[in-house]
Amino acid sequence: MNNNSGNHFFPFPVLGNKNAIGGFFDFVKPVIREKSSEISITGTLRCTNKTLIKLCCEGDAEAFGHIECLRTSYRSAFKSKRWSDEGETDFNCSINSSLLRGNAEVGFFIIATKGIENYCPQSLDPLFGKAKFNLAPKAILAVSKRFYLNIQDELIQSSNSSIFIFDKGTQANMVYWEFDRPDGKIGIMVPPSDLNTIRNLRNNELFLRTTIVSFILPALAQALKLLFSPDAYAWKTPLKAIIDREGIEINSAVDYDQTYKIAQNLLKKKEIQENIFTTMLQEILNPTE
Amino acid sequence: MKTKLGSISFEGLKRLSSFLNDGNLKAVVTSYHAGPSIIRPEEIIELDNEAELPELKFSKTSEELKKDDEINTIKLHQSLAKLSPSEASSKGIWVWFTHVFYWNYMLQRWPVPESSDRQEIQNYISSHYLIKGQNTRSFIRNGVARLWWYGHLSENDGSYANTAILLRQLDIASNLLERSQGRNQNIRKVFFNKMFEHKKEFLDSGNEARIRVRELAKRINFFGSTRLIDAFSMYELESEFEKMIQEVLTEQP
Repeated sequence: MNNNSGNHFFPFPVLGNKNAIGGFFDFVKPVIREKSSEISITGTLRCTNKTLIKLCCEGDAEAFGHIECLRTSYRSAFKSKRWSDEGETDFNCSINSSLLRGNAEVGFFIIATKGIENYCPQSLDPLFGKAKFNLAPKAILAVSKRFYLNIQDELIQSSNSSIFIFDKGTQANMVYWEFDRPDGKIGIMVPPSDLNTIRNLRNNELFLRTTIVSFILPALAQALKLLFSPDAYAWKTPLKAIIDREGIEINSAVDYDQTYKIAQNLLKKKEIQENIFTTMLQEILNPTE
Repeated sequence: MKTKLGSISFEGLKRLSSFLNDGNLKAVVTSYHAGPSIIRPEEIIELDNEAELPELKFSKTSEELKKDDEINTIKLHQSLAKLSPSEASSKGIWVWFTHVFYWNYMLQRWPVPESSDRQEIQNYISSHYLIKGQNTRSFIRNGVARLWWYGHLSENDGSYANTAILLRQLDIASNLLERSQGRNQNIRKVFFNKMFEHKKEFLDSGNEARIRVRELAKRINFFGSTRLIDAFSMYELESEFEKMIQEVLTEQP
């Protein structure tokens, strides 16, 4: 689950300003289960914006979970339960797994149930002065950060969770990357002779370390930058999961220097290597022909 | 007679892609003009699914092609009714259809241009014979996947009345189905209902109808930018769409 992707709707002033929606609104304690053919999402929506809590408790606003899958052209919204005075509500929904594939995006919205006149959001961007807004029914009042469900990407052919794969490139003296491969991995395309060297020296720890620094580090830095591109690459999901698990703050404004530092830190961590990156390292040790 | 469906392996997709990108241009064009498919037997994975696959029609004139597309869409979607959207978003299946089962149809319906421009040839083949990208838009460009996806996105409780609307005015496909809001089934249903109600203004041939469709799509997009359009009931959507249609008709009488 990745909570670092920012929101869709800025600069829609009703939501507040770029850094705050006038309080906290997010999906906490999430549990996502895949059982037989159903994917269920349960958790708690928590809001600290008093104006919004009041509107929700009085029935003038309500929260929805919103799921969208680019691969299967699926999009739907699910209503949450009644809000408590403490600003919490339970959310649960289930979706047939045959409707989703790859990265499905999940976000939460608080919306007006009816037209609201003279709505004044907390933390309104100073640019708008003391503006008040007349809102239409179903107008969006708050947006949570999004996260992604990773639905098994290739049902027909199994693919492990490795992000990178070394492969034979077509250029004689050049290493390049392929981000849109059919296997959903990031291809580090090396000249055929280099691929043989990697294979022959794969048991040399020093060489392995050099390989990581020379080949994987720049590719990972570039991949971190591409996380915010509109392209729906399959490798984004496991990479986002790592970033989320590590609690790394990253957004679309990140520059290449920053992604390079993040990549360096990620590659240093043993616990990362122990799961997804271990598979990646196995790919290095056993490159494709 | 039922046919076992197939899928092209990763290795096969990769080989096709490098053949297209790095192979001799003349050899690429020749391979996509006649003769047997360039897929190797070992690159085909036989799937458990089977279906009675229809023969796909193709005509020479653009007007007849629209009619053919409509018939092909309905027949193919009906015969592959058990295919789930998740399965239908696999690239391998559609590349099997375009390069193996419907190879002859593809050569006739989507002839590769005689060109010496490598980029043009690459774009054409990767869009119509392969799948370029990972979203629905990419699948709608593929010569066979488009038929299934048009059927899937326009079918309504077993009725294909909306399919005709969709294919008659292909701007609808690009203006609605390829945008985020067109992914919601209720929004699609109401859109099609409204198109049918106002078919004279929105579905007639000619530039005016196309301009109106584009204007309406823009308005729906704008409408949904600050509202959660998925939270509207069907009744509310009908009413809001009617208002937008009236606005469009006032501006584009």
